[in-house]
Amino acid sequence: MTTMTYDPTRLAQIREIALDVLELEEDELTMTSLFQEDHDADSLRAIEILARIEKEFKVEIPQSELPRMVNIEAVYAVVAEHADRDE
Amino acid sequence: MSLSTRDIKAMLPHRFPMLQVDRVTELSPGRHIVAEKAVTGSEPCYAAVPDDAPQHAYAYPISLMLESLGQSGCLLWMQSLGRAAYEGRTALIFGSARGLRLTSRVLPGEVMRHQAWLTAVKGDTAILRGETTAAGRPVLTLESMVAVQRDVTLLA
Repeated sequence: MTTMTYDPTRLAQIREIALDVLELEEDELTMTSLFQEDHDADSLRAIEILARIEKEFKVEIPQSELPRMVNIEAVYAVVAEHADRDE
Repeated sequence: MSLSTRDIKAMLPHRFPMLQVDRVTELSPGRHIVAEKAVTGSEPCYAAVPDDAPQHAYAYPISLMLESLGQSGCLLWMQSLGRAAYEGRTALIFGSARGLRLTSRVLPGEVMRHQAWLTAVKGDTAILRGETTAAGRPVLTLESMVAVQRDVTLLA
């Protein structure tokens, strides 16, 4: 498994979107806390996070990625894959 | 672009007393809508208000203000969906609302002016934000509302 280095700006932006949509305080959301199981998110919130991520990073992420996007760590990975794909 | 009550009824299944949009005065397809609903003292929601009730008893219910704003947003989204929406094959369902800030209430004799913006559309889901004013006075802002589109045959 490759070690992920996190771009602090990108990570902060992702966190901000998640904190906003999930209505959480900063310290409630960790890299691995699960949106659904730990933060009571339903499918609507998951899609909202996805749509706002797309807009923020100007990328297109297929809905098929949704099942993967379970926490910040996973969302970061998905964004990294789709944002850096064309570089 | 503007829409009359007749146009609105061709797009929304809602009827009296749940039709909460009177007219659309501006519409930028896929982006922004301005719609209005007038509030009258003869609204069904006021039917049981006693004669000696204070004026604030006539504040238009928040749930109905949100419904009105939501229907305005739906019209914006439906407009960009085309034929399927008009032919009643697809139903738009209100999913969730977040970040509601209420600044003032609306009383009979006033007109609610709603603005809704389509923030994003992802497959069957639309995310919108909205703002309502009355006589130029801020009434409420809604950070985010989510609506979903479903084939009516699945809902039967």
